[in-house]
Amino acid sequence: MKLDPATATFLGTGVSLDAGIVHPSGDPITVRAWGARPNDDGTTVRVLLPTDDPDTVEHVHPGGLIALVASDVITFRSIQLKGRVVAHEPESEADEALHTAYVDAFAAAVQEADGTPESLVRRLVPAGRAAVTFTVEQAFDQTPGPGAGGRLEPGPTDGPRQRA
Amino acid sequence: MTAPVCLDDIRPCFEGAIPAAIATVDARGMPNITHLSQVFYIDAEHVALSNQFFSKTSQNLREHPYASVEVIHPETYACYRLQLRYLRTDVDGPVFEQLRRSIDAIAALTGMQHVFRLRGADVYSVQSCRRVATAMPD
Repeated sequence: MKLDPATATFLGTGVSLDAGIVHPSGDPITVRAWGARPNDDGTTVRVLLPTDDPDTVEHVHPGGLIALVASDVITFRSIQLKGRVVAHEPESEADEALHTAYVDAFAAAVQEADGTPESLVRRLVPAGRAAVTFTVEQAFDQTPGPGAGGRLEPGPTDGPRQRA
Repeated sequence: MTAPVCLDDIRPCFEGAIPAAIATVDARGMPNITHLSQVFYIDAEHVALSNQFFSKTSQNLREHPYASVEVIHPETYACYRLQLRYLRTDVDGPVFEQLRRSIDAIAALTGMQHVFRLRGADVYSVQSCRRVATAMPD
């Protein structure tokens, strides 16, 4: 599917990012993500996952399944994207710039939300990251409430809206 | 991989100060991830998660009863990953009542009283708990 521009923009703000990946045993693994950017037509998302913990990103391979949730720490607006990994690469210079901007925005958002000093939030930042690109196959509204889980409106070139 | 951590050593992570994230998988292996208000400490080997509107999470747990949760220490911002096995859902009893009171308090603090309503306390055994490595020293 194709992400609409507003959803794509949302990913680029200081939202909390968490990915769900799958261990070879079949069990899920939660891992915090450190920047995400859709491609120009909104059909794929490049997300930065930490390499500090070898038991997480090493299990991400092309063809594998992945989920990413993005939540505004002030409004709680949340979306979840699900898809299939198409690339797992070392972080590029552009990715490093994305990561730096993301950390700045996220730390500022958390401080605005609850007063947590930005320096404390930055203690979460991993030393190294890898860039994982996945196709967006499904997108959901994950905002807390009875509407959570409803499918998001696809982009203008996609088909009609569906419900989960 | 970092060393195992005892839940008793990170009790502030379970006070609901910082939302946690939970991942599950469905029968075909597609992950689902969502945030939750609180991971509730039961004892050193068990936690309960607030089931408010976890329809997809609950469905996935019926298909594959394992979950992964990240919690953050509110004083140090150290992050911990718990690998869990789902045991049962309590809809009454002491764990449910304690979690309900805590969720009500979080809802009041965040202005979400009209949204947060505890449907059940999902009880899990803790398979492992490890510190998530970061760039910052301990």
